[in-house]
This record gives sequence, C-alpha cells and structure tokens, in this order.
Amino acid sequence: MIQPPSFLLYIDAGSGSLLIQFIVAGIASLAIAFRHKIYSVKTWLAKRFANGKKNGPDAK
Amino acid sequence: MTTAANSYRDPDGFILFHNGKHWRVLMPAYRQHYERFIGSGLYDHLAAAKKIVAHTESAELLVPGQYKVLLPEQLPLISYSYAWCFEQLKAAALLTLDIQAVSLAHGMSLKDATSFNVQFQNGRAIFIDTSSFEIYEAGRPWQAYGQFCRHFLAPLALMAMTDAGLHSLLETNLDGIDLGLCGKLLPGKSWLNTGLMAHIHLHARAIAKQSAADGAGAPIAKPVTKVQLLNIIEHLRLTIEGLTLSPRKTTWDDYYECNNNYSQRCFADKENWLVTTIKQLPQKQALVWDIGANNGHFSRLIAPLTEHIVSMDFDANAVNDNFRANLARGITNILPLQVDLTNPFPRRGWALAERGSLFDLPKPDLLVALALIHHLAIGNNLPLGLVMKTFADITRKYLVIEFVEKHDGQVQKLLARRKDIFPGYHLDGFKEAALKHFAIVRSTRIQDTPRHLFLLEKI
Repeated sequence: MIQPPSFLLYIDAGSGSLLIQFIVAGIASLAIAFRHKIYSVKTWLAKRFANGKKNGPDAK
Repeated sequence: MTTAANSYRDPDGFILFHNGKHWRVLMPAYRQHYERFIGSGLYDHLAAAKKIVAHTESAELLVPGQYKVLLPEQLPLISYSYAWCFEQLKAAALLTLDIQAVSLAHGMSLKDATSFNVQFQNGRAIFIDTSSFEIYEAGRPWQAYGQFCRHFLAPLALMAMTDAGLHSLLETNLDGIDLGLCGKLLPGKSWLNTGLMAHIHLHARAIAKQSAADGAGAPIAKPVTKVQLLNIIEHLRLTIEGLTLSPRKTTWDDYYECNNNYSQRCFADKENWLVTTIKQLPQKQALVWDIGANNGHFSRLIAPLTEHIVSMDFDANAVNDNFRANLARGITNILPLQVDLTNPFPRRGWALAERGSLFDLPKPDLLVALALIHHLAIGNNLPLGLVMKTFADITRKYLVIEFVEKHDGQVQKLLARRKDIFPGYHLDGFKEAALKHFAIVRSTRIQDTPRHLFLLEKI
C-alpha cells in the first residue's frame, strides 16, 4: 500500500500556544470565579426579592 | 482498497476505502492510547452520548504491521467548516471542548482539535476521529489549544463581531485563521471580552513573540495542572457560548416573510404542488440537494418524503436560520450548508486532493431549484443553456425547478438598475434549454403569478 507524502503541520502545537496557557489559565480562573460570584449575587438577590414579596406587607 | 487522499498527517492511523465504506486503520504506535481510550470507558461514554461515531473492530482488512482496523458508523455526507453556518461551527466547537473535558476526566486529551474532526449526523455535531485521543501527561499544556483557537474561536469571533461572511477565511486557511490576523480584524471592543482578550489577542502576541525567539531555542512551557486546563476549557466554553450572530438584515434572511412575490394562497399552491410531485415519484429519494434554499422552508416541507437533504444557500443568516429551525423542530435529515453556487468551494489542500469540492459530494437523486434561475441567468449573466447543463450534471435523475418570467416583480427588481441584455430569457427559451437534457414529467403555473413549476427527468 502506497501512502501519499505526509507533513505534520496540523499537529504542531506551537511554542507560543503552549507558553501562553499558563497565563491564560490564570485569566480563565479569575473570569470563571468572577462569573460564579455574579451568579451567586444574582441568585441571592432573586431569592431575597422573592422572599421580600412573599413576606412583605402586600403578601396575601 | 484505497487510502483516503487526505489521510496521512497522523502517524497513528489513516482511513481506507473498501467496499464502499470508510475504515480506520490504527498503527502500532497508537496501541497504548487506544487501549486507554477503550479501557478507561471514554469511548463507551462518548459513543453512548452520540458524541463520537460508534465503531466495531474488524479483522477483515488487518495486515501485518498494523495494530487494528475499525469499521466506523458510516456518514452519508462529509462537509467542511467553511460551508457551515455560525451555529454549526459553534456546535462543533462546543462538542470539541466537551470531549476534551470528558477526556481529561478519563486521563486522556485530544492531540488535535481541527474542525475537520467534526461532522453532522442526524442534525447534530459528532466527532469522527477515533485516533485523536492520547494519554494525558500531568503538567503538559494542551497541545491542540492553538489549533482549537484557529479553527473555532477565531472564525466564530469574527462572524459574531465583524462580519458573518468572514468564516470563508477558513476555506483558504485550512489549518484555521491566523490569530494575529483575527486580532487585527476584530473590533477594539473585543479586548473587553476576557475570552477574546486572552485566547485571541494575548495568544496572538505570545505566538508572535515566540516565533521571533524560536530561532534562539524555544523555551520550555511552564507546567499547567489539570485544574488549570479545565479552567481554560470552561473559559473557552463560556466565551463561545457568549458569541452570537448579530441579527443584521440581509436581502435573504426574511425573504419568504416579507420580500417575495406571493400571496399566501399562491405560496400554499407552490407547497402543495411540490409535496404532491415528490410523493408521486416512484421511490423515496435517497439524497436531495435543495439549492437556493434560503431558510430551508421547502427543505423542511419535503424532509419527511426523503432520506437526506443538503439545503444550500449563499446567505450566512439564512443558512443559520435554517439550522436553528431544523434543530427547534427536531428535523434531523437536513444538512444546511452555506454555498455560493456561482463560486462553489473547490478542491483544496495538498495536491488539491485533501478536501473535496462541492461537486465531489454525493450527487443527488433529486435537485430542487426554486426561485433561483432568474438570479443565475439575470443576476449573474449565466446563459440558460449553461445553467440547465450544470443542473443536468449535478442531478442523477430528477430536477424540480421554478421558472420565473421576466415580468415577475423579483426579476424586475434585478433589471431595475441594469440594461436588459437577456432577450432569450423567456418561458420558451427555458423549455428549449431544459429539453436538451431533460424531459418534462409534469408542470404547472403558480396561480396568479408569472411563475412556473416543472418536474424534469434526465434523458
């Protein structure tokens, strides 16, 4: 079986792409933590708002 | 038995064609990775979730010097990312990230992340490259990170923030869009998106810096823990999920709703004629190409009557709407593709043999070309004879075509800003051109319109 010639361009990871991952991982961690914090605050506010409605003076 | 013309970059395996089927050959170098892939339960997990094509091991074609031969589930069509719409590319990107995250949990990692590893089956993205998985080494950065950003993140960001048509850059850049170029094309506000700032802009700068330094000996990458890798993947996922195609109006994306020439009754007439005609064909059509399909309305109408439909249009927003509508309605046998018929994608890659052209796709048993011919003949100066010859070359048997006469409002719009140099564009001229290649099986005039529908059979 004769196989056509090959070159490995497609699986060259690239040193820049490897090196940046350490930095990118830090940014990603911060961004995800920030997002989770916002989500928690949103959830807390929604809960608080819902409770406030339920227990407020207009609640029936 | 022949080796696939585009399967030679990976020393761990390649694809064979035999008895009309694709087979995957794994080489001995891949043995430990494949054993882990199966033994860790990763394959079962992905196959059960229909995220990877299922395969069976076969001894039939195995020859000395090879490790295993796999017979994967066969896909009816192979399509490329440069013909996908935004939502298709996004689905393929999210699938790749999902698979990488699951792989890490099983002690493995994707060694490449090209968009060519993903196809569409039953309306959903599915991973096809069984030999893309390698054993994860603790501390090692993701080898395919740069490739993922070039193949998925860069085109998605460009489509979302700059122009929906920019994904065509994938056609001329088979290994993805250069991140430096992508950074230059993105608007300044992309720096405010932490995902694009990190994975495109800073990434591009790191690549440029390292390319300059590589001659002096490339530095060793800092170790990246599994948790950090999972954070990168999660961040990429959030970034990609946050990208959306801007709802910019084009001539075509609401063509059927407010810009066509029909009253509701005429539209219903056309629908009825089409369904009746296809129902009357002797057998269910295995493959249909619907060209100039816009948002796929007529493709969806005939989907229950056919096996597979490739629904093509050149408008990015219309193709995107088509994909979303099919997904929302649970229609699984339509593959929307963004194709400009007047300039279809050609063969590409090494020796022009790596990626096929539009005309290398399996030929349809039925070609549907509704309200298209005036755009080709008048909008693009293509002689009717040439259009009909090309249609005859494409279809294996039938052609459903709508001929729109010159006094139709849509044709008048095309002629409004140009000289009428089309004396041969009329019903008799159309029939004369058609009858050189086809016989008329049935035809009708759409009520109260200068539009005619034909079912033609190749002679």
